[in-house]
Formats: sequence, structure tokens, C-alpha cells
Amino acid sequence: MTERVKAPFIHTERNDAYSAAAHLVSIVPAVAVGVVFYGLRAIVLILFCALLFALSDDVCSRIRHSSRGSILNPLFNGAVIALLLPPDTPIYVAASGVLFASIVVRQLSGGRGSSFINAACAGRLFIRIVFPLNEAALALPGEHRVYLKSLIMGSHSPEPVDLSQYYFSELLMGRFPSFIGTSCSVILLAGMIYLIAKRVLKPYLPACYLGMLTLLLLIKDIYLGTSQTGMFLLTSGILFTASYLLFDDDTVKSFGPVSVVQAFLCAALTFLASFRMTGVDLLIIPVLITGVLTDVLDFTDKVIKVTAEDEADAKS
Amino acid sequence: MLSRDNVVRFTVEAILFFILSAFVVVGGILATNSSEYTRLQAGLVEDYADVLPAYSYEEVQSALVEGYGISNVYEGLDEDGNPNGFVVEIEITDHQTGNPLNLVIGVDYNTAQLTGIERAPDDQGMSAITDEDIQMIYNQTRGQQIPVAYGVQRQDADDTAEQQVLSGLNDGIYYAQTLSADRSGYIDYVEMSIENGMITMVQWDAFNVDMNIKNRRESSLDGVYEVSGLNWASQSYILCHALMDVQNPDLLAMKSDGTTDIIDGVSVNIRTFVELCVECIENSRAEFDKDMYFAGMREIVDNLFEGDFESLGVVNDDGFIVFTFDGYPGVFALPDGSQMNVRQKITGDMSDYSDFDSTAADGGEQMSSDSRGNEDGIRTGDTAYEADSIDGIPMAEVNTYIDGIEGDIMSTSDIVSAINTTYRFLKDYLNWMA
Repeated sequence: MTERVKAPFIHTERNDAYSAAAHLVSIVPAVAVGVVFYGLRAIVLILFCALLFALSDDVCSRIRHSSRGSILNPLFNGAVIALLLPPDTPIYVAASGVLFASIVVRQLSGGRGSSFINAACAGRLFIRIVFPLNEAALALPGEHRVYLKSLIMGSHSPEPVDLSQYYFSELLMGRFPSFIGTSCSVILLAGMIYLIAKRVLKPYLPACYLGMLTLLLLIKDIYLGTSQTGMFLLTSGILFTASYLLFDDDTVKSFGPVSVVQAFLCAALTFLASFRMTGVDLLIIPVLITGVLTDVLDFTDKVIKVTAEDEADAKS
Repeated sequence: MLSRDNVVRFTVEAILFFILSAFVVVGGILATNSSEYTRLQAGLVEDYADVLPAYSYEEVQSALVEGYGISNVYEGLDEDGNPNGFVVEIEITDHQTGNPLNLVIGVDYNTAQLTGIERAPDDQGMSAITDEDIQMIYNQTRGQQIPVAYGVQRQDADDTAEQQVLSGLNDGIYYAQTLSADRSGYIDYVEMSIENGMITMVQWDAFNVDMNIKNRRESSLDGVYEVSGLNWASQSYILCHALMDVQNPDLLAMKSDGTTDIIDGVSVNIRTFVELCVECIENSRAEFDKDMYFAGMREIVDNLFEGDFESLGVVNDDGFIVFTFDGYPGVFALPDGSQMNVRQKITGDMSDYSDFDSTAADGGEQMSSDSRGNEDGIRTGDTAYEADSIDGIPMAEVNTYIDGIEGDIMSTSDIVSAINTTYRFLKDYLNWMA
């Protein structure tokens, strides 16, 4: 039996830089939401995180004398961290997450493509753990657009809101206190469609993830007699996970049956997390666990294959 | 590496994507504004309908709200959009426990009557003051005018209110204005109403020699005319009400530098105000009312320009005579170098404030006009002004007296303070009851 592999000399337009550029453009709508909703402080946070990630990546690569690669991927990761932050996050808090993601997660694990977990998610989790109070730095969309003091001082959260009182149209447009770029479902779907149109994301992957999660939530609704699936899908930010977090190079390293399993796995983990977790935990922890499990499974699979080959060689 | 074509393509796509997304989001915001308004109104109705029934509620935006410990102020509107009252969310300290208590207080727009008081929806429940305590105070104040005093304070207020009435005042509306403009071109004026021998309304404002400039009160509210401390309009309002409380400009304790230390919130120079009030009082005693004053002014200016008053165009839209006598120092000069006022010029009656006894209506102690402008600003006669007040409100202004919660003076005091703070805010910052 002959194994068919692509010849290494075949060049395609959709290379690594193309994928990074498409990802970067795909988050532009989420950036626009952040800018319209939260104004100047959102612009500053997004630019700061993106540029700091790129700078840190570049400096680390020079120190390690390794290939610096495209600047687009670090820009994307930095912007993703910013989009996952509450709008009133101080700049030093954002910087800590970006530097952790860039230096500790990415560089210490061998650079881009070698990370065992999504660097942006890890950076955001770092902020979540080290600055837990920052999770309350939410703000009402559309208020204080020229407010910059929070970049230094942080801010208090608005009064807790009861999302069940919101109209569907408000939830759809993301007009509720949330992270900078995770609330507007319409826009997040646009970003996802862009990635699919650019063929850097297979449509069946987010479909598997969202479909599985929706199914599990519906079963839960039926079992518990609640009807919160729609609310969850619109307000939790999982569309952000499906578009920008789960299917990156570090978590889902290739398309195919394995990636489908990963999508299902992440959906199941998100479902389980929904019983105990809220906020950013729900978005990043299932992705991080999926990334780790994927590497473990991959490693195990390779060990089994090598062992089997060794045994076959020994027999022959 | 990206090809040049791809770089251009992605750049264009990013720009278009941003613009398109921004349009979608802004369009979404506009499209959902009515939903948001409906939802917010439903929430406000749920929270506030018990303290002030209204068709809708509009938040009152004022940077001065925080100074009163007030969290939010809403204006209740009826179906036609007319205001029917205010809802004030206020945080007070429960002095028994030291913990905060958030209350919602409703006040009727026209009558200043309390329409409701209850624990705020977001109160943490840390205070020892119970809902029953709040209800008990509400039962005693329901439909009553604020501010409120409780228990033993009633007698004190009754005792002091009558001691400050000046003698010889005739009922009517009296007026006085400065004869020259200040450095900003403003001509100050005071209008004073007197009923039953008591000063019942005082208004201090100034119009500008440049008729395109708003009066000083409006300019200060617009932020164009700035003074230290509260805005000038608020200080003027507080000062006018202080005079209505004490009924005697001498008791405002003006110091030689023209300021006063005894009226919270007033830091401006009050000399012009005091002098114009004195002139109004003199005019009242001489029965020289506002119409006569205006006619007198007109006659003086007319004489100055030999019957050419109409062509001067010195009457502004509000009917004030905008004329400064800076260039005509001799018009009001007496042979001894002193200055007359308009009434003295017109009537030839040289009697002034010092010719009358500033005695109390009941024949009590005599007030000396010499105390005006004393170095230390000491007030003569009145020693009870600050003591006879509740929550910074003179007792003469208190409309409602209650017994309070039996055996719990502290809780009574805390809740009444919230009501009275609400009154002070509405009075001072919304120019209420003006």
C-alpha cells in the first residue's frame, strides 16, 4: 500500500502568513465592536496588547537566535487577549497577560507552533488568576467612550445586570456589559464566516463545536426544565471561542477527523464548565484543556505507532 | 511571506470590514435604542413606582449630585412628558451600626410633598434600620411637605421664627440695581417680595451691559461665568434663602472683605447683594416699589439725555434698564460727596436704613446696621441661627414635624436626614421652589 503525501515543493497561496493575515483581518469586526462600545480605552488596550505581543515575540526571537516569523500572528494573539479583557482593565494588567503569553507560554515552549496550549488563552488565564478583581472591571456599552482613567486606575463595575430582562435584539447586538470583543454575536459570526470564506477554517469545525454544545444545552434545558440555551449562546461569548480561540495552530494542529473529535471534546468540556463557571473561564479553560489533551493524545498515538512499528520490525 | 497582492487585498478587506462592522454596530445600537429605553423604563417603574408613580423616569444629570451622598436622581414624568416629581436614591449612614443604608425617596414636583420612602433595591441590608422603621417614618410624613423635623425641635423653631422680622416693612415687590457695572459688565439687581411685613422672596441676579450676553445666573449654569466653590447661581440661591430665613441682611454676617462664613456653600462676595437688599428694605419702608423704581430710573436717564430715552435702546428683553452711570458720577452725588440711590434721587427723601429700628416684630432687641461689614463678620442679635437648624436647614424652613420612631431617636434622625438632604439637593441644584 502506498501512502500519499503532498510533495514539499508544491507551493500554495494559503500558507502560514496567509492564514495569520486572515485571522488578523477576521478579528477586525470584533475590534470595531470594542471601539464603538467602549471608545478610546478599547482602542488603546487593543493596540497596546497587539504591539506588545509582537515586540515581545521579536525580542525573544532575537535573543534565542531563532526565526522571527510573521508579525501578524503575534499581533493577532495580542489583540485576542485585549478583546477578552473587561473594558476598564488597567494597562499594566493587560501587559502582564501579554508578556506571560509571549514569553512564558510561547517562547519557553519553543516558539510559535510548538506551544502545547493557546498562548492568548494562557495569557488571559494568567490575568484571571493574578488579578481576579479585574474581572469586575466591566462597563456599560456606549458609556464613557472618551474615558481613559481606567487604563491607569481600573474602575468599578456597573450595577449587576439581569440579562433575562434584555430584549433579544439587545443581546444579539451585544448591548450588555461584557468583555471588549466577545458580546456581539452578529459580528462574531461575520468574523467566522470570513475565516471560512478564506478557507483557513473548515466550516464543519465550528459547526461541530457549536452544534454539539447547543445539543447538550438543549438536553440540559429539557432535563432541568429551563430554557436558557439561546441566552447562553448569545451572552456567554462562545462564538468568540468558536471563531478565534479553539481552531488555532496550537490547539487544533490539523484539519480532519481528529479536529472534529477535538471540537466535540471542547464542546463537551464547555458544557460541563457551564455548570460551575462563568465569564472568561468558560471561554478559555475548555480550550486550554482541549489543547493539552490533544497533545497528550497525539503523543500517545505516536508512541503506540512507534511501538507497533518496532514490534513489526522485530518480528520481521 | 505574503505576496504583494495579498498584502493589498488583506489591507483593503480589513479597512472595509472595519467600516462595515462599525456601521452594523452603530445601526444595531440605533435599532435597539427603543428596546433599551423600554427595558430601562420597565426596570425604573418596577423600582420606583411605589415611591413616585410616573409614566416614565428621566435621570437627572448633575455633577453636584455626589456631594450630597446621592446615588441617582430621576425626574418622574407623566404621559405628556410633564414633570410630576423626583425620585432620589440616597445613601446614609446608620449611626447605630455605622453601616450604609440606601433609601429611595419620592417628592411631588408641585407640592414638595413626600410621596414615598423605602429601602433602595440595591441596598445591601447591612443597616439595623428595618423596613418597619422606614414605614413608620413614612406613615408620619406621607403627603407632608418636606423638609421634616422630629420630636423636640418643634418648639425651638416656633420660638425663633418670629424674632428676625424687620419693622416698618410695607408689602409689595421692591427692586434695586447697581448704578455701575462690574468688571465683567454685569449690573447686579435684587428683587424682593414682602408679604405681611416679612421677606418672602428674594432674587439676586445680574444682567450685562452687552445685551447679547446671558444674565449671570444663566451664564454660571452654562459654565461661562465661573466662581470658586458652587456655581454662582447656586450660591445666589442659597444666599437669597438664607436672607429669607433670617429676614435681616445684617444677620448674614458679612465680613469687611465682603464674604461670609456662616452660610454653607456661599463663598462669593456678598457686599453688593447686602447693599441692594438694604436698598430694597429702604424702598419698602418708603413704599417705593419696583414699578416706581423703574419709572424713577427711566426719568433719571431721560433727564440725562434730555428726553431721548426711547432712542437709547437701554431696555433689554427682560424689561431691565441696562444703563451704567459710570460716565456720569455727578448724577447721584450729594454736596457732601456721598451718593444717593434712585429713590432718594427721585423722592428727595434722604432717610435710609439707619433711620429705622431693625427691631423684632415683638419689640425685642435692636439690630445695628453698623454690624454690616464688621471685620469679624459677627452677627448681632441672632445667636440661634445655626443651632436652630436641622440637617443644615433653618427651622423656619421646616414644614412638617413628626414624632418619629418611639424610643429610637437615632433611626429617626438618620431617616429624617435622608429626607432633608433630598430637600436640600432639590432646593439648591434644581432651583426648586424658586
